[in-house]
Amino acid sequence: MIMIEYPLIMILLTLSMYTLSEKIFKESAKHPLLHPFLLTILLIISVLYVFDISYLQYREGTQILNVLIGPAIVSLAVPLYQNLKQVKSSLGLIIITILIAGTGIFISALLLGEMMGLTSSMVQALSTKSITLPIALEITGLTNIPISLVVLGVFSTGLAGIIIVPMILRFLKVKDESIQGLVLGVTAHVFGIAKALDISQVAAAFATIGMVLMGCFSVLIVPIILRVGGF
Amino acid sequence: MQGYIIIFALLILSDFFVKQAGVNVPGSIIGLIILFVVFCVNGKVTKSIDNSSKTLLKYLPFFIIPIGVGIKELFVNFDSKLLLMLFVSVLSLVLAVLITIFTIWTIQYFIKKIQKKKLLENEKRVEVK
Repeated sequence: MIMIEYPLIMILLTLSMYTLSEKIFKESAKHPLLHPFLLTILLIISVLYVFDISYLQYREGTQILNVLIGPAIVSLAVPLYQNLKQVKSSLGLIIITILIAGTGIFISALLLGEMMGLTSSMVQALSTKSITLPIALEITGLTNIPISLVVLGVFSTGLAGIIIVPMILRFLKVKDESIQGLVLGVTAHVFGIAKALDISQVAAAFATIGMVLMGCFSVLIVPIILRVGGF
Repeated sequence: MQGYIIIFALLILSDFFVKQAGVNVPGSIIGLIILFVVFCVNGKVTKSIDNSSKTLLKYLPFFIIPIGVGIKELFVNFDSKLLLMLFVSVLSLVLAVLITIFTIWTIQYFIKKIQKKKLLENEKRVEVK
């Protein structure tokens, strides 16, 4: 058990599970249910259970990875700029989509939650689920939604989004890479960007713009919807 | 390494600005926008930033994994309504994707209609001349 406190052990665990998951994913001919991201998380949770390691211990040991999310998000400016020409002609489309679809997404999630008889804090947490976690957490500061439920909402959406969004895109025969990216970014935030990076840099740029604008818009509109709707 | 220095320094400055100004946008997104504006002004992406960003983006999914593992913690004190919330979350995701796609299709339909109208008007003008 002394080994658990060795600083590199949790990074080693994460790295090896990630590498293993990527191998399994490739061997399975890229089956969506065996997505390396999901698989890595499930494998790590199993290892933590088997060796009786708490999440707090794991989290402390992997803090450095968390710190690197910020710089990675900043560096998304590169694919964004490199695809500016393609985005420029669609900028109007992107902005109107976010204003209309964004509002629709926030309200539909709240109404669905209320209809299914969830507790009021769960219903509120659903409103932030299509937003990237750092911005969603900013909204919890403005509205007193419990952080743990926001994380659950954001991550269940992101994790499910990796699988479900491409399925619906394929079902509706959406072939345009930029629209695929935009839908991924708007509905599944950082997870959508990660998935869009698998498609192409163009898709990632659209996903980035979608996620960023959706996040900024949500900070303004979600507190208002919550107040006016009485959720 | 120069690219990492610029990206990290920019993020630190942005985070500092956000704290000081009390803005409701994460520093990373402010940093992204500033870097984007700098690229637009310069008209190009520096090679070092390009290389650093490629590496960072390649490992972005890997960086998020520890937060994803946090799902374990939420099921320690299990509430049966959490399962319902997960179900609603996935259901509203499907709804969100459909809303987004249909919104895009509707906007594209109107854009095409406007473009056709403009084209017809131009043709008419040519005929009149």
